[in-house]
Amino acid sequence: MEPRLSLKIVYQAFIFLALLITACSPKHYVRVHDQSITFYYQNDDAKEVLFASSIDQFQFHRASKAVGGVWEVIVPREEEFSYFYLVDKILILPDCQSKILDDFGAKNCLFVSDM
Amino acid sequence: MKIKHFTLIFILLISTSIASADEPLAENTELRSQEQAREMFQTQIDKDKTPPLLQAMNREQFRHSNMVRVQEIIEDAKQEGLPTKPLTDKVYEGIAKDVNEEKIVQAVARVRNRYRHAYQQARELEVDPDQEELLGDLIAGAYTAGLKQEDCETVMSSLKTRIRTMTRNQAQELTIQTMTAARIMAHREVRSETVSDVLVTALGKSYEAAEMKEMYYSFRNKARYGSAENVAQQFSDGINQGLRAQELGHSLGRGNENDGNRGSKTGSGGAGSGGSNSSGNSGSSSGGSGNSGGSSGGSGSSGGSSGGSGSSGGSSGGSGSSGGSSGGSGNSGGSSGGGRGK
Repeated sequence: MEPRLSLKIVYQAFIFLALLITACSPKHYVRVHDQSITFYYQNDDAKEVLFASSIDQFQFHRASKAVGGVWEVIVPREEEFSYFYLVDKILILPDCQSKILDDFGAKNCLFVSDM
Repeated sequence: MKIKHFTLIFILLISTSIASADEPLAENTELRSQEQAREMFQTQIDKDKTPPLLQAMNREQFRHSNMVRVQEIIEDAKQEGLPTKPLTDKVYEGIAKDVNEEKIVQAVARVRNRYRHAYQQARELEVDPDQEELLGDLIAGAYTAGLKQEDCETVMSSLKTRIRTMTRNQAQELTIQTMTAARIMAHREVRSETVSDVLVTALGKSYEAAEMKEMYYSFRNKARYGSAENVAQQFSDGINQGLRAQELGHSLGRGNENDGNRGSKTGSGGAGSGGSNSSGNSGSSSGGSGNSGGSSGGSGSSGGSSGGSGSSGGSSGGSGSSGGSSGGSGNSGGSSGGGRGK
């Protein structure tokens, strides 16, 4: 009886931990390299993720889908630029620290290298 | 017979008047289409010479009047010594977002006005010409991030009072650091009134350029793990109570209970000691950069650093880099911590 009970507790703890990890996992994050910046955007359901930024006059770049529903796109490293995503043809502003007004009634994310 | 004549005359009169009424309209239409054809032809001929912006607007079939308007705004900006890239970028951004062309023109005008006002404010501060552009861009950047004009003017007014007794270099440095602080806080969506409040209070307490810089570094680190608005308000309170910049991070670490708790929990997980509030607090305060870690005291510092990264440790420990440099670009960076690092 006792081993069964402890197994149940372990199982529940495992489920709780899995839920916690899923809930805490970032939906959007950035990795800065010497020459480039990689943007990661988590969306398992998306069919197409495009990235646009002021680096190159808001041309769309197709993000590639990596493991676990994470989409990634690599852009040249710049000190500062604004950006947004187009996810299945819908404008999406990811969870980003710095934001600026876009003058069209919405906002853009802002990447600042020293932040 | 008479009736037949009348009817015939009536029909003739009516048809003549209808024909004459139609004429100018047809003429107009013809002229317009000729003009359009000429424009189209001209555009085709000059395709290689046409500036990319014009090409983009052509491709999107902007009306001629709107293309002219955009070009006028850009030309005006150039004449006034304002940067034009934000204006052209706005057109491209509008196109990418599939915004109505009229709204794009309005947005371009709005950006121009914002830069015009910002540069005017920069000029009023009588900084060196080479600093004018930097300051103008900083102010415009703060506006773009949501700082209201009246709040910016309040800061400017305090700044002018404060720099009256300073040397030119000192004044310039303080102005630039103050506006950088404004921009950083506005970027983090701190309310415009709060931004103004923090800066006016700091200027009132004779903060110098170096302290202003220390303050926004501190703000940046703390805002990564909590509400930027709360951090700013606590800074304002702290400064009001007479705290200097180096003390701000420290006192906020103690005051921010939520962050403290989080720090404490993660701290104890990471370092296996923790539990005490102080280590937790310093955990939260020193997690991101380790800047203020030192000031948080011995155990706090170690608990803190492991706490801070501990919170993110699970997900980001692998990448094991400085959250500092790239944490800025992900809010989730804050919650999942230093892992975003380079």
